[in-house]
Amino acid sequence: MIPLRIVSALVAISLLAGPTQAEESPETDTQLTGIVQGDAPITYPSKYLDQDVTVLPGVFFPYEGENWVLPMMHEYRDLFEGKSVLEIGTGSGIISLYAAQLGASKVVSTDINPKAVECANLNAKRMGFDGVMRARLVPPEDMSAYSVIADGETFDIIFSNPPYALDLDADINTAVVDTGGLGPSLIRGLDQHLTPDGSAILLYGSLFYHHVMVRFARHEGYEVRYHLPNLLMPWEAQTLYNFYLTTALQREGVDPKGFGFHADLAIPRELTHKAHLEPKATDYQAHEDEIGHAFVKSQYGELFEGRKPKRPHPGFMVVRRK
Amino acid sequence: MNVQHRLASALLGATLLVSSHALAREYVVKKGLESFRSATLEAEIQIVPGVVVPARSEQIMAPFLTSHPEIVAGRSVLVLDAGCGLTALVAAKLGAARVVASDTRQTALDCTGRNARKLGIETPIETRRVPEDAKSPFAALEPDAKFDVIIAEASHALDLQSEAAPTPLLHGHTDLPIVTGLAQRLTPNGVAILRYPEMFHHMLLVKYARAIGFEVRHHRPETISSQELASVFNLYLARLLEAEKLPSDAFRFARTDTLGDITLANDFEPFDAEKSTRRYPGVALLRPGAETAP
Repeated sequence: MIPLRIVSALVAISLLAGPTQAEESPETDTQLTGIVQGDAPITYPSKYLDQDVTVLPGVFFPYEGENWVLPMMHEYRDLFEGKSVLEIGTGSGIISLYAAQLGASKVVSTDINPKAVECANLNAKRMGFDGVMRARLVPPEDMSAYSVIADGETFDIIFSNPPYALDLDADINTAVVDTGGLGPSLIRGLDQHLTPDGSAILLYGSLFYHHVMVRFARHEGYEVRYHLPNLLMPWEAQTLYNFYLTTALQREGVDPKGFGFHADLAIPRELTHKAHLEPKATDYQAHEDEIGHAFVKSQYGELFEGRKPKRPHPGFMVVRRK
Repeated sequence: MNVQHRLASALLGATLLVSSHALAREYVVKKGLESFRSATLEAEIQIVPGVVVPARSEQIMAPFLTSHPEIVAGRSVLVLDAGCGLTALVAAKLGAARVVASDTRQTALDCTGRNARKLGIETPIETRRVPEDAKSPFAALEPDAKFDVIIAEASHALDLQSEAAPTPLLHGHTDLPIVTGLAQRLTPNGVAILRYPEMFHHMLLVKYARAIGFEVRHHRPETISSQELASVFNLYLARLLEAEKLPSDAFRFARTDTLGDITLANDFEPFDAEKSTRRYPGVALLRPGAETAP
């Protein structure tokens, strides 16, 4: 099960998402974020979709999709008509479903979680999009971005709202952690899988990975426009902080193991590491030692040429061929 | 208090912080004498080329000492990396019995001496030059010299990759040896006052001090600077580039990159019994604990 601290951190993130979201009643909060618990599917009434979304147990609740991604898609809704769309990491399918509703001619959705694939296909069928949209399961042996996309299969729009946190020390990609391979593989495959005039629309909501992806895509020769994330997320801060502290201590000949710091707000290791590991000596500590909520101030320019944004879309980047 | 309420109040607090506090800019004087008006000293002091303008000492450390005069009055005070001497002069003005200012640069010590003479403060400022290649920041002191108060302030962002030529505002000194040496250099009831305004560096020293037995009370920095963020990002980026088999210089974070100003939502415990709500971001008080090894 997803511990409460993860849920509360997700609530925190959603609180930061902006002024457009509705107030939630306190008793349902833990059902609105994180992975759906228990045996019963949840029905989620999206403001954007014509029909309710079903979220199966074991699948991420589409709070972020609804509050961060769908408003962005809504603003640029004319871009989807008649287009082929690939969504990498679909979860409940809410983003793909909205792309289908906006008139996409073909939608392929992928996920590493079998429950998510089942959930997305279930929703597509219920909403009558199963002729257009189909979810595919990414096998654990190859979690790179296009592992279930055929050679030469191209898309006008490649969409991804990937895991929040980057952790090069984690063993396996999960709904919340990218071990560092997904983002770069996504950019590298654009050459083969993005149509000449296509756009990759990516939501990298944490500051470091966002900056890295922008620079990596430019390094690979693409044009990138972006809105900086509005915060340095706690998990990413943890990753950077631990490595920085460890490096500084080792430089001075101090064994970081002697410190006895422990993980608290950190993502539980059982979710991100195959083998259960002892917490690292310098693991991020909650309370006064945590970096907590770090707010980023920035300005928001055009994501698509000639289209002044109606509102900020923090964390989004649009990658196109030059 | 549930999560929402706590976060909502944190958000509100952050909004207030953004509007209330901005750290003054520090810079190195390039050429010619520069005058700096210190409200605390009620005087102009002079900064020589190569020395940092003490804007943040004036903004944070001087008010801290002025609000807690009992910490330095009648006591012996050592100021490390004293620079132009502002903090040493404030300590002297507040009635310190003895003030020693040390620095690795003779120009800085000359600057301190000149300002002390100009102000005519009664307590003489003793200056000590730390050899550039000294392993210990206390190398300029007599072997058994101890102080009631030891003050260290950082103007630099910590560069753990030593990627740039060292400058007073950016270099690779972690300053852990300062904390290590305190056990030997503080009198039994002594206190160290650190001011490290860079978030990651500040937390490194706080954690290290606690790990070796100090009792620490501190106010965290309220921001993460672009300078520090570039250092932290580049350190991790090097791992990512290696994992992706990209050249180590494929791309990097330049210090001029707009990484965004990061504001942190912090709680502040007052340092003093009067429950003053004043904030001294970056300041940490270290007292030897029962188990601090000498």
